[in-house]
Amino acid sequence: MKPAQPHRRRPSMPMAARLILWHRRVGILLLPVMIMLAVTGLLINHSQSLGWYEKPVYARWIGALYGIPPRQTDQGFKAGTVWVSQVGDEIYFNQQGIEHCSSTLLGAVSWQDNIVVLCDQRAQLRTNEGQLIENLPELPTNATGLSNQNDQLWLFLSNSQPQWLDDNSWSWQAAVDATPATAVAPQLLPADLKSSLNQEQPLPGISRERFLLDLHSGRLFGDFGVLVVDAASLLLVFLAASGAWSWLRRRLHRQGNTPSRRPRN
Amino acid sequence: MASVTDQRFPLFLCLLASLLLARPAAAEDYLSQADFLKQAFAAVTPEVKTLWLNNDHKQAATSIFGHAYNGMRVRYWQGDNSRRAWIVEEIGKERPISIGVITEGKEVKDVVILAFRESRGWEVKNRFFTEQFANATLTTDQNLDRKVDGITGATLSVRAVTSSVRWVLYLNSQLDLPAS
Repeated sequence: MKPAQPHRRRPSMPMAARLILWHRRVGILLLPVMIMLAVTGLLINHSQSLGWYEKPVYARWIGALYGIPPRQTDQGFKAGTVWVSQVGDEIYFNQQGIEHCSSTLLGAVSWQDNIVVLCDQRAQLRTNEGQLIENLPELPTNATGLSNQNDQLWLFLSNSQPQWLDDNSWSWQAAVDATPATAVAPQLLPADLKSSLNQEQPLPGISRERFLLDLHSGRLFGDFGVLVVDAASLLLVFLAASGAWSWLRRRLHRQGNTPSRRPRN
Repeated sequence: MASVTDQRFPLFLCLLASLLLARPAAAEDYLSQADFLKQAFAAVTPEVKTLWLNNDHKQAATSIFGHAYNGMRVRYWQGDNSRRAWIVEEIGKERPISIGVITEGKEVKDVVILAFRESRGWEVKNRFFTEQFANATLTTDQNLDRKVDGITGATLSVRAVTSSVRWVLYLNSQLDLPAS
C-alpha cells in the first residue's frame, strides 16, 4: 500500500497569464451578446431609413414576451353574404380590412342592398365591397345595436326605445307602432374565415424599431434582460482594458528583450 | 402691510384652479340636425335630396380637401326657393367635425358647427369665426372670395371648416338652381 501523497498545491499562475485566461473566457462568454448588440445596434441606426419605426410586428412569441395576448376574434355579424367582424381596431368585410374603429363593433345589417355598420358611435352605409357610401345621421344617444325589419333600419339605444331611420327626412324617428324586440346578435364566424382573420395580426403599438430597441437594451426580457446587458457592458470594458493591458505589457516586454540596433557607447 | 404679491395671490390661485379644472370640449354636440334645419327653413323642413358624386366631383373634392373624399353621395335639403341646407363632415386632426352650411343662390348664408369631437380647436364653433363666411361665394378656382381669419391653436379645425364651406359651395354650384 502506497503511503498517502501529501496534497500538492498547483503552482500559482502569474497575474498576466491569469488575465489572458479570463480575457479569453469572457470573450467567449460575451460572443452571443456582443453579436446581438452589434446587429441590433446597426439596424436601429438605420431603422428610420428602413421605415421600421412604423412597420408592425406580427410574431406571437414576441407578443408573449411583451405580455400582449394574441388578438382573436370568433364572432361577427352576417350582413347578406358578407361577414362583418372586428379584429383589434380594424373592421373587416370577410377577409378585407375596411375601416379603423377603436371601440367595439356593435352591429352590422344588410339594408337597401348595402351594409350598415355601427361602430365608434357612428352608423355608416357601405357597399358590399366595403366602400363608404355615406354616414347615416348623427345618432340620438348611445347606440347599442342595429336591426333590419321589413327593410326598415332600426337603431337600438341604451336609454330609450329603438328608433328607425326615416329616409325622407334623413333622421332617426321614435317608434310609433311595434318595434323589433332585439338587435342583431353576433354569430360564430365560419372556421376558415376565423382562422384567416386570426393569423398574422399585428401586435398593437409594437413597431419593428421598438422591438429592436427593447432587444438591444434587454428590456424585452424584463429586469433579467437588463441585468444581462448591464453585465455584458461591464465585461466589455474589462475585455477592452485587459486586451489593451496585455498588448501593452507584451510590447514593453519585447522592447526590453530586443537588443538595441544602435550600439551603446 | 400686505405686499402686492400677497394681494395677487388669491387671484393667482383662482387662475390656477380654473386652468386645472378646465376640460377640453371633446365629443360635444352644439346643435341637433333638427334644430339646424329649423334654423334653415323656418316653416316646414323639406325632404332630403341626394347628390351622387361623379368623377368630376371627386376630383374637385381632392383639390379642395387635399385628400380623396370618402363617400359616394351627399345629402342636402332643398327649400322652395334657392335655399339649401347641407351637413358635411370633415376631420380636423383626428375626429370628424359636423358642419352645417346654409346656402342661398350662390352664396353662403350661415355656417354652424353641429358637433365637435376633437380635443382642441373647438373655438371654430364661435360666431365670430363662422360669421366670416356670411355671403361668401366661390371663385372660379374654387376658393372663397375672401380671406378667412384663422384662430391660434385651431389651425386644423379652421382649415377643415373652410374646406367644407368651399366643398358645399362647389356642390351647390353643380345643382341647377330652380326657376324663381
